[in-house]
Amino acid sequence: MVNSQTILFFFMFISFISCKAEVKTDELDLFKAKTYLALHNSFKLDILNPEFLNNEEAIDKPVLTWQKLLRFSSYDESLAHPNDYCLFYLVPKATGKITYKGILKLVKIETSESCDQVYVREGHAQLDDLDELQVYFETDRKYLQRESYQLSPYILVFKLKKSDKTDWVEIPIYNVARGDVLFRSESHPSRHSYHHAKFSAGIKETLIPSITVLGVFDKPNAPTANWNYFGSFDASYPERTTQVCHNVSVDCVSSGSLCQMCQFGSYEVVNSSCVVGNPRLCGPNRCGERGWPACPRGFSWENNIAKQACFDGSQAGFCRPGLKTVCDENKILICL
Amino acid sequence: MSSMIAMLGMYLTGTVGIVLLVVQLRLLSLEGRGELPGVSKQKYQFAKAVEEVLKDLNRRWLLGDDNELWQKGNESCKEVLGQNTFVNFSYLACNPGLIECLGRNNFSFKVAVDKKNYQVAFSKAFKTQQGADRHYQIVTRSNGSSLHRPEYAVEVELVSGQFPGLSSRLLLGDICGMTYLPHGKYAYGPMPGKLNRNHKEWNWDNHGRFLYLDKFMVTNRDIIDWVEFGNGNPDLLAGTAGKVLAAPATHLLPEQMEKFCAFRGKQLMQAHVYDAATFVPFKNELKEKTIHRGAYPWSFKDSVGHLYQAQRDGSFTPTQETCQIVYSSECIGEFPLEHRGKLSNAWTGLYQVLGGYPEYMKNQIEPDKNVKMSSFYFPAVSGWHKLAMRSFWDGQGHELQNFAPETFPEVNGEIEVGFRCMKELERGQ
Repeated sequence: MVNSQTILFFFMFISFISCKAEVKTDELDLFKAKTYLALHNSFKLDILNPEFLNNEEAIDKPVLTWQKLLRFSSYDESLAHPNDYCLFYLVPKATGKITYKGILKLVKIETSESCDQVYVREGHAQLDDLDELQVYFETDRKYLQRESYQLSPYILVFKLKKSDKTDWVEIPIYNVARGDVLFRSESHPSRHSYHHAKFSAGIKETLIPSITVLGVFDKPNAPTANWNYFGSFDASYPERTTQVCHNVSVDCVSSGSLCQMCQFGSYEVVNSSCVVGNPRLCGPNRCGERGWPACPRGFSWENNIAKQACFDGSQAGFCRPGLKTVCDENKILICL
Repeated sequence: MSSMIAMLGMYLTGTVGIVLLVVQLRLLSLEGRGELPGVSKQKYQFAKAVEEVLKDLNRRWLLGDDNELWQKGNESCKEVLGQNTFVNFSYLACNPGLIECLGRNNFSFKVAVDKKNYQVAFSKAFKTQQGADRHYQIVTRSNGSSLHRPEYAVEVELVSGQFPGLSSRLLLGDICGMTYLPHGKYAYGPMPGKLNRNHKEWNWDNHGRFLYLDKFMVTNRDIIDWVEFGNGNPDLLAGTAGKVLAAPATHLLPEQMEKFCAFRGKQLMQAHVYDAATFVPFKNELKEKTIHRGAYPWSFKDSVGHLYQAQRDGSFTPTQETCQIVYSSECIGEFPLEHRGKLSNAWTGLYQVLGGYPEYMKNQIEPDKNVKMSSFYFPAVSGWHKLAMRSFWDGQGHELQNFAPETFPEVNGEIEVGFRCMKELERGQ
């Protein structure tokens, strides 16, 4: 009798142990699944603490503080608004008499919010009991010598230790291009999204340059976005109904570009020789015609090193025969 | 005593067993909901299946891999892609007709995730403006209002019978159709000299600008997409009827061409940009007052190639190869014109440069030279078969009288004129 009870107990104990182990695996799987679905269709990534990224050292200080790591913007189900997330890490305390484990937490925020202080909120995804976290996101292929691990570009990688077991978690970030990666305190990307070179195709460099992943949706919820792209085909610069989508002063001060919102593309006009570019108008382009901006001709062709290009008779732009270049009230070279 | 111990043992064992069982059941209930708490396990599995699909889809999209359906004459594919003879297979690359061809033939991607096999297919989720079902739709900034719309993309929806109620939406970009004009100092028009006494040297440069040019002229298939998903006038469909869909669209007027390019976020090709992309660079140094340029796209020397010999000798016998490089009037009836062929090319990767169809482009420097004349309307010995040799089209129609007098020969029907687009990317991108 005792023997049969013992056998029963033994099987139940084994069953309990195995079940417990399975749940622990699920915790990591759950984190992977939630993080994957939230972030894989991100189109923007802000690096909030560059010292914690792509560093072959585990994040181990300052201990017991919540550290901001990354901020993401991804598509929501309606394709109308971005879903914004902040990724935090509670740095563990691994030495001393009392030790504490780390926590990796992804918090959903409003687009208008910053990642400051929101770590107190409930996580969209959370992974507890962590040690030795490393986070990687590269836009070029890189080999980690110490780890003997190949990092692929545009893949968010976590190396983490949980319950004394080391795991590598990989999440593809499909829509982030080089230029969409912002370092802290930057308002502009540090690198170009395009590789401009002979035979290049004029498409953003991403994980799969030909594919943008909008996401996985529950049918039949059709996207219901309502963004207003502006600029009309019949807009006329002579009547001043053309939309200026990027204003650059003659002193080369840029107002920031909205040209990604132009319905019919955009084109550059002439005012000065600025590295940030010249002003841009929403298309279509009728440069060279009476009352319209002059077509850009460049500065180098006549060894012109002058910065200013907007003056009557300027050769930095050209017009149809019979018209002359004139600098208008917007400091744009036009044809009259 | 021993029986009491045995009973106590049984009691304790049973109690611990029940406690273990309760704990186990609670844990099982956590994971046994058919989904991970707060997230659909199905959704994640489907996303992982799509991840596997993307690799194959990307390859098919870029290479134009149609599972040999269109290439072997599948009727439903010919309906959307047009005839499959005398068309270079590169026509299928980044072509939305490829998606429709695969979709109509119930093509599915077969992928494995965690040792489970899945089939994922294109959904017939879209409708044209005329109400026809499609496996794709054209997305531009002028035909919709979603966040971060590209200037042009092909939207597809992936579904799987193993994941009912779920779909994945993707945008496929045209990574195949444009080529970059490197920064440099360039010249417009033919080299001034004995043959071009009236032409004065006219230079320009594109330093700091990022110009991308269509490799090929806009096709009849492109026009159908424009009408079905954009603001293209449905009357334009009549002009594509019975035509090779891979062939340049040659029935539009300049204003319609401009509208088509604008629909795709581009602008019409400009003559000086076209010249920059087709004259072989020799010494385009900033100090040079005159930029040396040859008459043909294959060399900066004038005296190279079959056209030079033909024009020098006044006679020409076409071969298959010469007709692939420059399809002149002698080729008609001798060799078929290969649409989207890649032998009539320039140093930048621009195609359809000499021969074939005339091409309209905007020209604000010399507005009366807006049509590239080198085409199958002229024999190889004609002086029109040179770079930058253009004449005038009033853009009002395609009749002989709409073109400069004594340029085009008498032809049966209308004179066909194609076009292509270009765009200028923002700096700092």
